Amino acid sequence: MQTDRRIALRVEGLSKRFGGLAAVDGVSFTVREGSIKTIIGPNGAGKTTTFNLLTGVDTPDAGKVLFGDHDISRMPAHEICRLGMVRTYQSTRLFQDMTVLQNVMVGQHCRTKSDFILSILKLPSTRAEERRIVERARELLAYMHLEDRANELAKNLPYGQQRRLEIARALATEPKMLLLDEPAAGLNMSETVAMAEEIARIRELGVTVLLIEHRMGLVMDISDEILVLQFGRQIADGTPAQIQANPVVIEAYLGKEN
Amino acid sequence: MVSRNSFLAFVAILLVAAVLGLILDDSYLLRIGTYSAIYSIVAIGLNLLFGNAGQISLGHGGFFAIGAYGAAVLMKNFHLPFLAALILSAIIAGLVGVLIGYIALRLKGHYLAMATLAFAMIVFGLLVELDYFGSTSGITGIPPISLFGHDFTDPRGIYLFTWGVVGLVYLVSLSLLSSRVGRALMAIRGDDLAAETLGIDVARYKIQVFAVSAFFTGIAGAIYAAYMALINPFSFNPELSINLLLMVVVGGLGSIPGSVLGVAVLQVLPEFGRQWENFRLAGYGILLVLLVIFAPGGIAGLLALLFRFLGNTFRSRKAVPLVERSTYADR
Repeated sequence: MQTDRRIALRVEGLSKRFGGLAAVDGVSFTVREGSIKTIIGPNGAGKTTTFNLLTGVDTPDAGKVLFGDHDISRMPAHEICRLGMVRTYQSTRLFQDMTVLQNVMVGQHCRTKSDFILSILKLPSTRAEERRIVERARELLAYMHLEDRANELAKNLPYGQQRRLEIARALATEPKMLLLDEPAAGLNMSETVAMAEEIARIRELGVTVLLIEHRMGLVMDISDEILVLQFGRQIADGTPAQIQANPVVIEAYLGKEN
Repeated sequence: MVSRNSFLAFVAILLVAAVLGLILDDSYLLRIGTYSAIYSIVAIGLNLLFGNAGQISLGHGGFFAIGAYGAAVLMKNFHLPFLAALILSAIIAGLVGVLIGYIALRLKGHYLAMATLAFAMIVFGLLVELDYFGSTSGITGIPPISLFGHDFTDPRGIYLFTWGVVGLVYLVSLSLLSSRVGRALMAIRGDDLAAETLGIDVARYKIQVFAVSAFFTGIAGAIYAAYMALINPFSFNPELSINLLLMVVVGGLGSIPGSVLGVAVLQVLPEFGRQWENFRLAGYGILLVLLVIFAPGGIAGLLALLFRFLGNTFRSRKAVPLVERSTYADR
């Protein structure tokens, strides 16, 4: 399905060692524009390290990351974000002492311009930009059903809402591609279902989604493709049906049959 | 979009300062007021850096010294007018701030504190050693504060001028903090990794905020030099840097009005305890420990609590009839 779509992200031979440990070892995959791809694998498989390498938090030892036409494998994280790739974190990293609205407004940073001088002078153009930022942030809060929490401090939100806020903040960077690191971790059953709907809705916005997730029900439901990692190596890459039928994956998850 | 409360605090503080300046008739009190203004400029700058962007500095005495010695040399040896000397020396302090900010990129928390303290000690050491700056006897005969040919020599004039500069620096900071840049700085303080992956050039902002902070401190140093007419290295020893940081913490991290109040408290308090002068540092230490435990928001935090408490009592009195009316409507 969707084989005619353009490639949004192409990863070739991505590798990262920490001391003697090959955290990510020659991983190659592609993500098609407008699709949802999920990375699964046991703990320590290198999923989050892969995210770190893609988003510039860590630099790969070897391999290439092509995002659209850009080689982003050695680019600073903030420039990668400006190109349109943004991520969330496994344990949320909100700006705790800022309000919900301010958190989302920070997300608009890379799409706006006012520097030190303009910020001090507060010219009409700066004020207009500021109004647009507030407007856009409120839209995104409404989109993630957080509009009535706008003026609370981020740290005062319950956990499920913090997760949604982190996604709203990421969407404020106007990404082409959104990387979600276990968005359903710590959520209860109904919150997980709601999160799956949010992710599907985000795809409808035209945003490509790369996901790390453990909840297999959620993964099989919403993914177009699944990449399976184990000990830093990829052991399978395909549609949910292919992955479910793959003997190597079954062995990795359930152990070998005698 | 400057928030209404911070603007009200700004107006209130400047009004009090102006009224005090006009009614005080004692040159000693005006002197304390002028010192308070000079250190308020530093505290506002240091607060931008530490309170808002989360970058600690125990080196602001060094920037203060650069502003003071820079202005002194430019006015006395190069015969520049006061305003030009002030701007130029503040720019020099800002450029040194860029350098320190660049070093700060690799350091966090305690390490940054140590490195910036080392900077203050290096500046102090150089001033003691270098003959060009008069070594231990410093520079004397520095021309007075003057603007457009008018010399400020009376204590009241100097007081009002200096508080005017506080007002300017205050407004600039307020404006900066309520902007895209201010949010970026707060984001860096909150979580610099998240800020970076959300498209904020963290390194660039850290360097820039160091520069702005040092620039403000340089302005204060220049005013100090012209006000004192003579300066020597011992006014800029590393203890000054620690006191400056203390003022910001006492006032309340992240709060501009807090910075001014913190300075005022630490300038005025010692006046009531001259006989305990030798215990001053011990007193500051105890004050700091108590604040960190009981009022981490400093004076500004305590005031905010007080206002919220007053606001709540006021509102709840009005809220009662409202509830009754709605019950009526339900029937």
